[in-house]
Amino acid sequence: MAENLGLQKKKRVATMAESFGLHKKRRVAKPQSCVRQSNRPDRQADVLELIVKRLAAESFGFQKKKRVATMAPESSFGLQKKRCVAKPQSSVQQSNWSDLHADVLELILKRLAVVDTIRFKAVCSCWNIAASSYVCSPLYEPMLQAPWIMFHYNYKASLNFFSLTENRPYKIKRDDKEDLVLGASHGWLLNFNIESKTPYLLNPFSSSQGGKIQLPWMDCSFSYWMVFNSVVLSSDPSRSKNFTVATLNGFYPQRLSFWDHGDTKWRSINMTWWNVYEYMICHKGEIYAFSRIAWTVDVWDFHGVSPKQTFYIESVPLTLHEQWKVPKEIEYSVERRIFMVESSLLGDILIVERDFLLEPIFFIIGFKVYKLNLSEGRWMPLQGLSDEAILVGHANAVLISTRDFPEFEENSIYYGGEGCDLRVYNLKENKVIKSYPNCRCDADSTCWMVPTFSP
Amino acid sequence: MASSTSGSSSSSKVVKIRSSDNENFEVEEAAAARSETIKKLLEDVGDDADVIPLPNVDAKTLVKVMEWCKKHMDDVDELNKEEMKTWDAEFVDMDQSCLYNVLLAANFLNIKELLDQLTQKVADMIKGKSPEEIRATFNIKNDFTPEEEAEIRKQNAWAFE
Repeated sequence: MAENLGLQKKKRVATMAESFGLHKKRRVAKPQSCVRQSNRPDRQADVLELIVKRLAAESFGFQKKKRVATMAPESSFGLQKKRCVAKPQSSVQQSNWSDLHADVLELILKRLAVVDTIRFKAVCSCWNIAASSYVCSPLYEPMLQAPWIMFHYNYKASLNFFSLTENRPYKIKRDDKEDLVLGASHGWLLNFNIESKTPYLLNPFSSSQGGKIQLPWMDCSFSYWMVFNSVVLSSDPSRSKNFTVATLNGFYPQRLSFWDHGDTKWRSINMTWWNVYEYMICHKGEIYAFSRIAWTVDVWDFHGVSPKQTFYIESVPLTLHEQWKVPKEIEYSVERRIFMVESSLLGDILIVERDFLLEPIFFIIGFKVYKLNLSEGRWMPLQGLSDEAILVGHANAVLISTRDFPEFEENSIYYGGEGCDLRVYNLKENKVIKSYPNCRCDADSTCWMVPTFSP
Repeated sequence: MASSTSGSSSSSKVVKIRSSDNENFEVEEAAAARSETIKKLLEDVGDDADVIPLPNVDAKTLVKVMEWCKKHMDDVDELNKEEMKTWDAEFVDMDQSCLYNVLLAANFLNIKELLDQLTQKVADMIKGKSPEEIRATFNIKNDFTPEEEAEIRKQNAWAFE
């Protein structure tokens, strides 16, 4: 080993060793052959040895962790009773990965996506206990993961996902296939049971009890055909119970309803006929909703007893991109859909305009991006997204940094569903530059979700 | 302590450390002080320290860890960042039993950056693998009863397909 590294024994080639700053010295007599004397000259070393032993005991898990002792995660099946008693590590380490200290396992878990963490839990009982207690603990920091696209979910026996990072599909069985999936936010779905008129939040990636939150009864009907982005959560319910659900429901009049966690009722407002919202997001504690009829972005303060509209921002005249070369005679047939995303880096709201044709066939022409300038109250056209990408689905849109996820093309819009497989539209070239033929997400509803755990 | 001695490799102070199998090493203080454990001990005992015993780290592992500490002794400038990245990637590319020992040593010696690199390596070795493949990679025994294992898989069947 030493030789491999070019570290030579001192007596042989001193200069070589010095170049590494590491000097192997004479072998000290083994402890068993050494008679311990009370007046050993290196008392300093004795003290040090004691300190180090104590440090070693702390670092190798002799001290039981409070969290493991207090929590009994459902999925660990009381395994902690039977096994996983921290063993003292001998000085000669036989690699025993299952006995790794919980602190080290947590450092590994911090670097694993949800799906890998689930597999990690199925490796052995020690890893199962470590991962189960870690994901339930307040210290849990989920690894930054790219969203998955979800498609073919309504009235199907399973939710279909595709992970671009892994380039593979996933299928999660539904036992509630009669219920409508209305939208997604922060890794949760808003589902609606039509018969009982009760909505509920569901984390499809979490099998634990905390993965389902029942919401109060709602006097309205949702139609399958008007299901667009109908839900926004102010924050991830897996992380904190201090969150608000905002939904768009009903049709003529449309209603904007809010529910604060713990309340028994929704707070609803009936919209006027010119306020039919098509898309909304939660930004800095307020709801920004895009009105399909007035072409405005309305801002709602939902914290009071009755939510109030505080201001609105008018849109700019939307024009077709020259490069698209749309023939004059069909110019007036071009339809537009507006999405909004939060750019976390700048704290801005970006608006994505999707231009498409409904007749004679559904055809997406292209995308344009604007920044919502809140201080000046106007939309500002953006030339590009630099190192960001926007993932657009039928039900929602999210923005990601391509520095975090190099597998995504920068300055691009990812879109799928509504008749086409997953495609990448580049904002510099103003055209589709890539497609994923193995992601057949040509469903009429798609949305993007980041898998999360719910304790 | 590290900053005062780094950059002057020829005249820098050396510290003596002893592995669990009783081999003594002399290491530049700036390198050894990458370990918070050693650094703290040195601060506590001052210059009187004779030899610091490390009862949890064998010589072979210690050589490896100190190789990393030596390389990371000085601040890295922008130019050398890429080179360092390559060096680090090659450094953590070791067999699983060696990786295990270096990981334990980095944890005990409290070398945060090395621990980050090693745990990232382990995470990369786990990513995308089935539990069976992970067990094979790290030589881990399946200690679940068949019922327990079936139950665990049933909870999130989608992740095992």
